[in-house]
Amino acid sequence: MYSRWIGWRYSGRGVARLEDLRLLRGAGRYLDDIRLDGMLYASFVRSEYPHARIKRVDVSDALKASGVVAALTYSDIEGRIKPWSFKSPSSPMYPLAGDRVRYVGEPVAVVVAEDPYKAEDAAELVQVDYEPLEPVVDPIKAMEPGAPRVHEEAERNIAFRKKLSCGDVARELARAEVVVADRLWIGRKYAASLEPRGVVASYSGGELTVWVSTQTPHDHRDELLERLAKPPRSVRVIQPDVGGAFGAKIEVYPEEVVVPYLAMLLGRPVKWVPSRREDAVSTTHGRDVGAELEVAATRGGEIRAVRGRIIADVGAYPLGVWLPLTAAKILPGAYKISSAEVEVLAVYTNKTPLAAYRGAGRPEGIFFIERMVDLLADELGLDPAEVRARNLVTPEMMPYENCFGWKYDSGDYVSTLRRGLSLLRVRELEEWASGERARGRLVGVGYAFYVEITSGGPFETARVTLKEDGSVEIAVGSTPTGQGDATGFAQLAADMLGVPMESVRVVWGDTSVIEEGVGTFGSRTLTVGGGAVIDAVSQVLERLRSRAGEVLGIPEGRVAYRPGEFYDMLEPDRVIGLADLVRRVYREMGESALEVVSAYSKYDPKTPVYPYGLHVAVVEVDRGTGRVRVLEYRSLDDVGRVINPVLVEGQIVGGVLQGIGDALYEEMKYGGDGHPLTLSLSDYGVPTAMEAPEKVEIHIQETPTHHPHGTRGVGEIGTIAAPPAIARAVENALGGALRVRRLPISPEEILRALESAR
Amino acid sequence: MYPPEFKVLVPSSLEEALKLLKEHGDNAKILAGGHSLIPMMRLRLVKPEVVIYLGKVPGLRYIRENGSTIKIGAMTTHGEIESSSLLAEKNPLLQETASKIGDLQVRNMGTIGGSIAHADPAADYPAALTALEATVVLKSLDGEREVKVDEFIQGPYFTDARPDELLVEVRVPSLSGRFGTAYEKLYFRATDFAIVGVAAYVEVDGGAFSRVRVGLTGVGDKPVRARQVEEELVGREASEASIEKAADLASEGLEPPSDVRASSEYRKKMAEVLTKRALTRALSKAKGG
Repeated sequence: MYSRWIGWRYSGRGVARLEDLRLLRGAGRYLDDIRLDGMLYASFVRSEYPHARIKRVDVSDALKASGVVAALTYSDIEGRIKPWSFKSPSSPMYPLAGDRVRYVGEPVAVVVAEDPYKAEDAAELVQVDYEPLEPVVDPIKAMEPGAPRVHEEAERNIAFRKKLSCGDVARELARAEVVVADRLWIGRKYAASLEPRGVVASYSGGELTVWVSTQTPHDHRDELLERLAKPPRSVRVIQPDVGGAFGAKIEVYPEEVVVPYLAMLLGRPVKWVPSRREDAVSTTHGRDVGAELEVAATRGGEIRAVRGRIIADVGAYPLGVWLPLTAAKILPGAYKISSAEVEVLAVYTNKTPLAAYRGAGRPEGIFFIERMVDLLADELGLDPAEVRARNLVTPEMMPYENCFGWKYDSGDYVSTLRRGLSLLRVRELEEWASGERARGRLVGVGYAFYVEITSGGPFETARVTLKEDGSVEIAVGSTPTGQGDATGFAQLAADMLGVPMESVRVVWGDTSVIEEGVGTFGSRTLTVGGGAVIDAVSQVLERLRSRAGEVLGIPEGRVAYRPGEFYDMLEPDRVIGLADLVRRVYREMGESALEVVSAYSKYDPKTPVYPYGLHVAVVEVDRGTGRVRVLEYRSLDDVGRVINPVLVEGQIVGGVLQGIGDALYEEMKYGGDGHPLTLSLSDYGVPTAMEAPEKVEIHIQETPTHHPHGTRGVGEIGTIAAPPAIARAVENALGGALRVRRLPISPEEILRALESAR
Repeated sequence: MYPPEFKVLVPSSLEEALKLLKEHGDNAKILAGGHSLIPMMRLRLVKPEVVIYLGKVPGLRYIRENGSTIKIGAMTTHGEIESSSLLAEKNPLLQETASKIGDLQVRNMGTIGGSIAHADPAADYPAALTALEATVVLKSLDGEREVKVDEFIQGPYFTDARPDELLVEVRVPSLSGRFGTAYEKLYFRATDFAIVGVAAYVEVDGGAFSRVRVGLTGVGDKPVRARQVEEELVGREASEASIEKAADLASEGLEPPSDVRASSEYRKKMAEVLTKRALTRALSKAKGG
C-alpha cells in the first residue's frame, strides 16, 4: 500500500544517474585498480590446440625463472579444487586441464610471480607436450555417426536433447495450404566488455576475500565454498565497478577459483587480469544457434503449425545447453501458434563454452520466428504486418500461455502493432524507400514484432535502513554493472519515504553488505530487485506506523501515511514526521533501533513478465561493395511502468547497437581447424559510434504488470528486436535478391546476391 | 599483455639517435607514435631488447614546401597532416588519406614515418605515396639516401632500411595545374585498417587525361600501382565512361590475401570498384568539381 506513492516526486522522471559523476570523473574502482600489499600476479598457460591429449606438463624451467613464486599444474590441485561435473553427458571440467584439452584457451597451468611481467615471462617457459586429436568444429557434422567426440560420454556429441510439442502438428502439416521451410543461423559472439574478466584474492586469519569482475558475487561465494576441498572459515566476495558484463560474467570460471586457492596456498594476495586475446578465448561465448523450420499456414496467412529443430553449438563444456531450449520456448513469439513440434539440440564442439549473452536464447528464437513470418508473407504475397496482425495473440487471451508453456502476463499486441505502424510512420518510410530504390539507391525498411521473457526468479534481496541523520541506506543483492539501477532504486525509495534522492545511498556487490542475492542479468534488476526495495521500505514504514500511533496517542488503525509523515486520519493536522520518528526510535532504543528502522526483503517475482513491441530499421546497401549501413532506427516498446526514462533509453539504444553488431558486424570466427580467428578488437567487429544510426527514435508504452511498481524488463530488448528488423531491411533494400538466413550478414554475400540477380 | 624486458633509450638529438641505432641495430626498434609497435610488443610478436624513443629528438616534425617538393618530417602526426593547409592546397591526396586513418586518438599519436617504416600491408598511406611516387629519406651515421616508397616497402612489415638507418623524412610532390585526387578506403568499421584502399591522382589537359596515377593498398604483400589502368587512361577522353572501362583492369595480376574480413576474390573486385570511385572523384575535382 505504501507503493502507491511511487511516482509522486521522482519515479517516472528522467532523473540524472547517481552513478555517473563518480564514473565519468574516472573515480570508478575496477578490478585492476585493486592493489594490495605483497600482491602476486598469476599468468595462465592455455591450450594452443582445439583438441589434444596432454602427455606432460613441465614447469621446472618456469620455477627457476626470476621472481617466480609458484607454478601449478593439474596434479598440484587434484583433490584440492573439485572439478565441475554436469547433468549432461560430459567429462568433468577441471580448473586446470587434466589429461585432455578441449578448446583453444583452456587453462593448463598457472604461474605466480612477483610482477605480471615476470609471470608472463615464466608462463612462456612452461612446456606442454600435446598429442593433437582430431577437432570437432562443425556442430552438424559433429552429430554424424563416427564423428570424433569432444567427450567420450556424449554420443554423437549431443549434450542435451529435448522434444517440445503441442497440438497436432502432423495433421496441420498434412492439410496445410502452404508450407514454408528454411534453415537459419546466428553466428558466435564474444561479449567484448570494455573491461575483461579478472580476480584478486587475499587470505588472512581463515578469511578469504575475493574481488571479481562478476555479475553474481553471492553465487561466487557459494561456489568457492563448494569447490575448495578445504574451504576457508569464511568467504567474502566483492564486485568492484564492472566495465561491462553482458551475461558473460555470470559463470564462475576456473581462474576465479584457482586464484583464490593460490592466495590461500601462498598466504599472499594474488591477482589475475587477462589480456584481450585471453579474455576472448576464456570467457564464454554467445549465440551460435541455428534452426531448421517449417511453418504451415492457410492461404490467408494464418499460421497453423511450426515444426523443426533448434541446434546450438555449445562448445567444449555444457554450460549453455539451456540456450537452445530458451530459443525454442520463445519461438512461438507473439503469435497464436497452437501446434508445434521442435527438437532442441545442444552439440559439443572444440570451442570455448557457450553461455549467456545479452538476450540469451530470446534473440535466436525471435530471429527465427520473425524470419519465418517474413518468408510466409513473401510466399503468400501478403504484407508482413498484415500476416503478423492475423496471428498475434489478442488482448482477451491474456494472460496467454504459449504452446511450449510460457505464460505471457499482459499486453495488447494487436493494437501495439497498429499503433506502432502509424506512430513510427512505417508506411511513409516504405514509400520513401521504394521511391529511392526507383532512383537507384538500395535503401530498405524492415521491422520485427517481438515478445520476450524477463524478470525471472528465484528472488532478489534488499535491506533498507533509515539512519538517525535522516539518510537512507539501501543494500541490494542485485548487481548492476553500469545500467544505473541504483538511481532507479533511490527513486522508488525516495518517493515512498518522502526524502530527497540525495539522501539515499545504494550499495551492492559485496556479500558482506547483504547475505543473499542473485544478480543482474535477464532484465530483472529494477523489476525484481526493485520489488525487494519496495517491500523492505514498506516493512519499515509499517513498523514505524505502529510507533507513530504510540507517539500520537492513537490506535494504530487510525494512523495514516503520506510521504515523509504519519498522521491521524481523523484529525489530519496531528502529524509526526518520519525523520522525527526515526530519531526518536534511535534515542529510545539505541542499538536495537535497527529492529524497527531496518528491514530485509527477499522478494519473489512469482511469474516473469513479458515486454513486447515493434522495431523498425532503415538500411542502405552500397551497391558496389555490399556494405550495409543502418541509417535510422525506430521503436515502440511496452516496458511496463517507467521508473526512469533516461535508464530505459540507455538500455534500448545500447541494446539496439549491440543488435546491429549481431546483424552486421560481430562474429567470433573459427577456422576449419578449430582455431579461433578473431581474438582482437580489430578482428572482432564490435560496432562503434561511427556505425550507429544517425537517428534513433524511441517510443514507450506503459502497460503495468503485477509488480508493485508495474515494470517489465528492458535490458535485452535491443538485441532481441534489432537483428530480425535489420535482416528484413536488408532484404527489402535488395529487392528480393537475397534471403537472409545467417547473421551477421556479410558484404560479400550481399554482393554475390546482387551479381546473381543481375 | 606484458612484453618481455626491454630497455628504453631516449636520444635528444638526431645524431645521438643515429649513434644508438648504429650500436644496437638489429636488436632495436624505433618508437615513434607506438600505435603498432606497442601492441605487437605486448602480444610478444616482436621482442626488441632496446626501444629507441624519438619523441625527444628535435627537428623531425614539420611540413614544408621546397620548390616542387613538400617535405614532411618523420615524426609528423597523421592529425597534423590532416589539418595542414599547405597539404590541403598542394597535396590533398595525402591530407585526405591521413584523415581516414584510424580514429582521432590514433591520428593524434601515430606518425607518418612510423607508419611507413612499419610497412603494414593494410596501412593507408602507402596507396597515396605510391600514387604520388613519393620518396623517403633514410639517414645513418654514414650518410643519407632517398628511396622511392614502392621500393622502400618490400613486403609485409619488411622494408629496405638497414638496421642502422632511420627514416627521417617523406617527400611528396607539390601539385599544381588541373589536377584532382581522391582516396577511397573500404573498411569494415570506420576506425579499422583498410580492407582495400585506392588512391588516385589525375591531371587533365584539353579534355584528356594527361597523367594518371593509381596506388592500391591491402591487395598484396606491398602497395602496388595499377599501371594498366594508368596506361589505358592516359591520352583518353577525361570522362567517366573512360574510367568505367579502365577501372576493371585494376585487379589484373593481383593476388590479394584472404582473411577474416574478406576473401581474395572480394578484394580483387573491390580494387576495381574503388579504383573507379577514386578516379571518378579525382576527375571531378580536376574539372573543378
